[in-house]
Amino acid sequence: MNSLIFKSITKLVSPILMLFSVYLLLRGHQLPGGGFIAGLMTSAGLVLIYLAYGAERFDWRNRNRFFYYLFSGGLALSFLTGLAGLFMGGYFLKSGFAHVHMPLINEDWEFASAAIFDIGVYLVVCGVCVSLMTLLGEEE
Amino acid sequence: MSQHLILPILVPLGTAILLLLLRFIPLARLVVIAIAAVSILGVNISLLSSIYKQGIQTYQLGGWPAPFGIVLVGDLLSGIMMVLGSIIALCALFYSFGYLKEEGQQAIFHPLFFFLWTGTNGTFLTGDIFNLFVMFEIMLMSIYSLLTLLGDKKQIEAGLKLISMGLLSSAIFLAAVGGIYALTGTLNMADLAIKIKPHADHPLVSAVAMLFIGVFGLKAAMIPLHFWLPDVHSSAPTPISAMLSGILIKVGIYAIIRVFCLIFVDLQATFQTFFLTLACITMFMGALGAVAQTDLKRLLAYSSVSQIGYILMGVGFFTVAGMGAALFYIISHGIIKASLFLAAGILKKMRSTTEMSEHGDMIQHSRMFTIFFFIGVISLGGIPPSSGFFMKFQLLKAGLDGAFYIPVVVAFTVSLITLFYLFQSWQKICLSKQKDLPQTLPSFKLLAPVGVLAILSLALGLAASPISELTQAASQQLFSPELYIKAVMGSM
Repeated sequence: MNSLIFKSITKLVSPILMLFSVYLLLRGHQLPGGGFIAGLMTSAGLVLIYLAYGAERFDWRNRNRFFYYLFSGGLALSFLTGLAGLFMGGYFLKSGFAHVHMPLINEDWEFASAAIFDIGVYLVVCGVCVSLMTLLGEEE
Repeated sequence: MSQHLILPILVPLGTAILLLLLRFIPLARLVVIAIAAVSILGVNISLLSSIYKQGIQTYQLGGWPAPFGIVLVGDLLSGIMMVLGSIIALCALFYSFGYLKEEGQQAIFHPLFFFLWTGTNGTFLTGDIFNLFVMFEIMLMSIYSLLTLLGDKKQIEAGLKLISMGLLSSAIFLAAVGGIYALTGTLNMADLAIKIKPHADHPLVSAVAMLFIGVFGLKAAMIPLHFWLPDVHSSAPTPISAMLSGILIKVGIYAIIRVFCLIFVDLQATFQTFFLTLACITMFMGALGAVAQTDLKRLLAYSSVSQIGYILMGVGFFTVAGMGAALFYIISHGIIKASLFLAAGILKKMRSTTEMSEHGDMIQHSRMFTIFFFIGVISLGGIPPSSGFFMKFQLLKAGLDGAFYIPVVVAFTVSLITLFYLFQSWQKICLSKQKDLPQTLPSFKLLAPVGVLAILSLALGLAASPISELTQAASQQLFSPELYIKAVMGSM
C-alpha cells in the first residue's frame, strides 16, 4: 500500500498506540487493561507499520526465529511467575507485591508479581500476532 | 490441601514450554520428553493411590479459598481418568517417534501434544465449571493443530469440521454457564451443588442441564451429535486418533458424569429415560455404521461411537453398580481402542492406506501384529479372558440388577454385531490371501506400543477384580456428592 495519507497517519498513530499499550500493560493487574489487550494493541501498531511501509521493515535475518523465541519466552516467563508463587508463597500462581519508595520523585510505587505474569502474556500475544502477520505475508 | 494435585497440570505445561524453547536442539528435546512423560505417569499413579488411601483432595490455585478462587479437586474418578489418559498418551508419544519421520514435524507435534496432555489432566482435576471450559479450550486448540499438522486434504477437511463443532459447543457451553451463573451466582461446582438445591424446580435448571448434555454429548459423539467423529478420528495422524478415541471422547462422558452426579443430582431420575434411549440409539447406529465401512480406521471410529453408547448406558442406570461398570468400560475400552488405532496406523505406514481390501495376509508378514490385533478384536468383542468380557459382563449385570431389560437386550444384540464386524476386519487383514503386494515390515517403534496396550488389556482382564473394586469405590464416591462438597467447602 503506497498512500501518503496512510503513511503519515501511521507515523502519528502507531507510537501513540504503543505507548498507550505499555500504560495498559502496567496498570493491568489493578485496573482494566492487562497483558492480553496491551499485546493486541502493540501488535496493531506493528501491523499498521507493516501495511504502510511494507514488509521490508520487518525483513531482518532470523526474524521468524526472533518472534518464535519472543512468544515461547513470554510463555516461559508467565509459567515461571506461577512457579515462583509455588516456591515462595506455597501455591501455584500465588501473587505477591511490594511497595518501593522511589527516591527522586518521592512516591511509593507498587510492584506486583502479577505484572510480570502480564508481561509474559504481552510477549506471547505480540510474538504470535507478528509471527502470524509476517508468515502470512511471506512469499512462497 | 496437597501440593501433589497441581503436578499433573504443571509438569506437562512446563514440558510443553521447555520443548518450545528447545525447538532447535532435537537431542535435548528427546531427553525432556522421555523424563517428562514417564514422570507424569508416575505422578498420576501416585496421586490415584493417595486419593484411594486418603479420600478426596483439593488444591486452591493462588491460595484463594473456595468458592472464590479456582479449586482443583482430585477424587477417584479424576484419578482413574488421569492414569488412563497418561497410559494412552505415553504409548501414543512413543509411537509418534516411529510415525512422524520428519524432524520438523516432531518439533511441532511434541509441544502441542504436551499442551493437549495439560488440557486433559486439567479437565479431570478442575472443580470450577468455568475452568472446565478453559481446559476444554486448551485441549481443543491443541487438537485443531495436531489434527491438521501433516496438512493433507482430508485432514484439513476434518479440521474444518472439528473447528466448527468446537466453536459451536464452546458457544453453547458459555451460554449454559451463563445461565447457571445467573441463577446461583457461583461457578465453583461444589458451591453450585449447594446453591442449586433450592432452585431444583426452576425451569432454567433443566434447560441448563439439557444444554450441558448437548455440549458434552457433542464432545462424546453421542448420536445424533456424532457427525464429526468418523471423519476426524479416521483422518487424524494415528497417535492422535488413539488419543482421540482412547481418552478425549471420554472427556465428554466424564463431564456428563461430573455434572449429573454433583450439580444436577435431583434431575437424575428425570433424565434417566432420555439417557438410556440415546444410549441404545448410539450403540445400535454406531455398530451399523461400522459394519458398512471398508476402511479400518473409519470402522474403528464408528465402533467408538457405538461403544460410547455402552458407556452412556452404564451412566444412565444411575446406580452404583452401573456407574462402576461404566468406569470399568471407559478404562478397558480406552486401552483396547488405542491399541487398535495404533495397529491401524501400522497398516497405514506399510501401504499408505487403511482400506481393508488393500491389505491381506498379515499373518505371513508379521506374526506379532496378527496376535496383537487379535487380542484387540477379542477384547472389544467381549470374549473372555480379555478385559472386554468383564466390561460387558459388569454392564449387563448392572442392567439386569436394575431391571433395565430393553437396554440390556439392545446391548447384547449390538455386541454380536460388534463381534461380527471386528472378526471380519481381522480376517480380511490378517488371513485373506493376497498376492505380490509390496511389504515393509512394521518397525519395533510402531509395534511396541500396540503390544503394550494389547497385553495391558489382557492383564486388565486377569486383574479384573481389583480394578473393578477401584471403579466401584469411585462410583460410590460419585453417589455421595456430600463428600466432594465437604472436601471443597470445608465444614460449611
